[in-house]
Amino acid sequence: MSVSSSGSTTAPLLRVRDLVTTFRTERGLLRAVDRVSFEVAEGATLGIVGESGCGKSVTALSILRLIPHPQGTIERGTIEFRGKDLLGLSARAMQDVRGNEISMIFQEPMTSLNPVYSVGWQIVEAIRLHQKKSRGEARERAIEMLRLVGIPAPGSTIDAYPHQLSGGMRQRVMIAMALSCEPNLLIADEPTTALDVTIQAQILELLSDLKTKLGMGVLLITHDLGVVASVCTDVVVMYAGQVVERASVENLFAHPRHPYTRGLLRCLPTFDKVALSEPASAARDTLLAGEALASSLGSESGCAPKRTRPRLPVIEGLVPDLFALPQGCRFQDRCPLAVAQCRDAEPELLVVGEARDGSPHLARCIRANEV
Amino acid sequence: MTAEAESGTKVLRMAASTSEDPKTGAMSSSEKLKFQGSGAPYTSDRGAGGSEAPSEMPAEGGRPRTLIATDGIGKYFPVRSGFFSREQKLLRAVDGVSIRVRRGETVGLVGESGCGKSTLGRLMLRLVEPSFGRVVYDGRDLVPLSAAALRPLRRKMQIIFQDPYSSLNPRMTVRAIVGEAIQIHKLAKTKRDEEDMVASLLLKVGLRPDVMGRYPHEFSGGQRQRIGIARALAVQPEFIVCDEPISALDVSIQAQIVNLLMDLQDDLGVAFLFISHDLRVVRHISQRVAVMYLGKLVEQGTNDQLFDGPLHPYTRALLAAVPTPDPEKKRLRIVVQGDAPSAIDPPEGCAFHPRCPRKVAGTCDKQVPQFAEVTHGTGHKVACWNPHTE
Ligand SMILES: Nc1ncnc2c1ncn2[C@@H]1O[C@H](COP(=O)(O)OP(=O)(O)OP(=O)(O)O)[C@@H](O)[C@H]1O
Ligand SMILES: Nc1ncnc2c1ncn2[C@@H]1O[C@H](COP(=O)(O)OP(=O)(O)OP(=O)(O)O)[C@@H](O)[C@H]1O
Ligand code: SF4
Ligand code: SF4
Ligand SMILES: [Mg+2]
Ligand SMILES: [Mg+2]
Repeated sequence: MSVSSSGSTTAPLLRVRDLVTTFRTERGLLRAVDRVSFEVAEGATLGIVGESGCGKSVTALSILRLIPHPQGTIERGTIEFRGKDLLGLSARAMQDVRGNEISMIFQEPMTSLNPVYSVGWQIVEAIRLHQKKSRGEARERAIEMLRLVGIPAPGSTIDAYPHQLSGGMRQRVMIAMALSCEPNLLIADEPTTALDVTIQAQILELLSDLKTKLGMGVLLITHDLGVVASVCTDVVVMYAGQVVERASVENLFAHPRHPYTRGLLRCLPTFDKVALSEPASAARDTLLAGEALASSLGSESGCAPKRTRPRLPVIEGLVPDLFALPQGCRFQDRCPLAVAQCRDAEPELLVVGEARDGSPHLARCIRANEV
Repeated sequence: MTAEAESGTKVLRMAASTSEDPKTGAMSSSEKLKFQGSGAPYTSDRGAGGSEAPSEMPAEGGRPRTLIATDGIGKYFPVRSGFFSREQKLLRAVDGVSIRVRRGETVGLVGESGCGKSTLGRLMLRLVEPSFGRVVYDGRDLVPLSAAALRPLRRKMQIIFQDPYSSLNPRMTVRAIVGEAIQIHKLAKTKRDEEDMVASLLLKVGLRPDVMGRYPHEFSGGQRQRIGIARALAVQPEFIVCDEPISALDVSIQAQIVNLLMDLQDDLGVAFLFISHDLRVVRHISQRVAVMYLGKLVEQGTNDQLFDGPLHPYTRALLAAVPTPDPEKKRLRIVVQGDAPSAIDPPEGCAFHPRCPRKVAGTCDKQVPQFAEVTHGTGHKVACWNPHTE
């Protein structure tokens, strides 16, 4: 199949500038998203990847102004969608944008599907909220959408309740709901985590059809680098609330310029037989911890430790505590390239190269050229 | 549950507890008949799974090497067949599966979304009552056990749930969620010990111990998933059903969790049923892999057998659809055409036949293929009339 990657030159569909979102917590103010900027063009797919907890979902929820109140606040920044400033809209006008012009597939389907209504009822309501359709027409449309996302026997499954569906079926119900009103922008937060690769391919194909047919733009949050490589035009890499790299998908995979991105690409298990790597120091640590656990358990299992199988490479260490950020680069404690200078000031997001179409390749690292 | 299905379960449970053959674990034909008469049809491929039955000779130390095995296990859910109809139909979520996990082994379970993987995992832990079939854990049949009799076994068998949020109590802090299991099973001597155990578990799954006082809603999806993993590991189980344990995690933390599970296995002999859509990780972590399609196993073999020489057309399709992490080879492969089959009215014969490029007309659409070895003695089983054996 062909994945459209129209490098359109018109004003972007979505432009996020300097977004800052915070949460009030027990320990103080948490800056979950810290000066994040990016654009999504019509018909394009921007991927967001990054460490678990780095602020991807909060960024997505900020765009739709769905940050939970009162503990969460969008403190700063602008979010422009088709020329409109979303942060300036009334609650009412924002409601019209949501689900109509922008729809979202949430990361955890069970938290966004209502357990007491059938899935059909929920899709029909979503359709009727934004389109002038009779109940019967909306139901037809809902069945058609369920069929497109590969739900078996959609005509009867439509009357099932969320708990009667498998994890991946719920996820597809969410996708069907989000696509049923043909949005201009789709925000998809880990939309295919519960899907096997054949259905995943079918869903991604469906998205790409809608991109070409409707010029829909997609903001795709995913951990699956295979999916990123297959469908994204551009990628933003986040770390501890910030954008640390932004590039065309080709550049990102071929020439990652941030040590974190490079680390991520290295963690991917290959599909061929995994080469037997010597245990990394983290593996040794867990080895010791495992032995401690083993001895605390007694010799119940009677299994002597044997480490013959290879371990996957990891990025050593933990993300920094957002309440006690180090001075300088946020990745310094885990970075194999770190030097004294990295601890002086926070590196800026700078242009380090350019894509084939001339768009800039940005990285937040003082040694970007050596990565 | 309908009265009908309920009684079916009862009949079978009684049968299993009273008159099973202790050597083979097989049901007598009169029991099969009883079950047949109770509404849910008996599946024809059950017998072929017999060699997976928990009848293995005891190994070292007088303990059977098999830790947990199912024998023709099934779950039929009663569902309404349509909006206006009150007719009850049965959805065959799991339909006669025999699978075995040895001590210290990881068995990967893959298959189409909705094919019954989570249900099978829950059946193995008796979190779902089977409609028929048996589950034998460490030599004991779990199906007839009362809740009280199951309780001591519960600690040994854990599950990491597919949907982390709905499996974490929103009113409990992380400390309480992970600590609860430790308390119930009295694994810590003092409060201080308990706190230390919770802290070290959190570190193992890549979370800072200072998150202990926070509530589930304050975490990201992947952080919640790791809380669920820490909770499952807290009680030092022997067997863990990992239901998509890593799909919400970035690749580095995925790798960390995968390494942790492998360490637990090498050091403590923990066994895993590893349900995942990530075939790269399944290949890396599993010793054996089973492929499921519409409630049944369609292929099973060692890691190398399955990934290097897949026999079933569905397995081939799955492997071909794995996206490559290389944007220069941008492509998505739509490899399985046609509508997904329904578990309420499964296709006749081989359930994959309406979508299979290798189907043999007249055979595949009429007769159910046996789940059996193609080459005797290899242990590589497939349910297919026309497997890729060349
Ligand atoms: N309601 C909340 N209250 C307090 N902190 C929160 C809340 N929601 C999110 N956070 C914190 O904000 C940070 C960013 O969370 P977010 O959900 O955006 O992560 P993510 O990048 O989507 O991660 P994942 O890949 O695991 O889903 C995390 O550290 C999380 O703990
Ligand atoms: N409580 C229930 N009532 C009725 N049907 C159910 C129930 N639970 C599961 N099912 C059905 O059983 C089938 C198998 O579901 P299961 O959750 O085991 O699939 P799965 O293989 O885990 O899929 P996924 O990969 O999408 O998580 C599905 O068709 C589902 O709709
Ligand atoms: S600035 Fe220094 S510590 Fe930060 S990523 Fe670059 S080299 Fe590493
Ligand atoms: S039995 Fe026939 S239809 Fe089924 S997978 Fe094999 S070849 Fe295809
Ligand atoms: Mg998230
Ligand atoms: Mg499941």
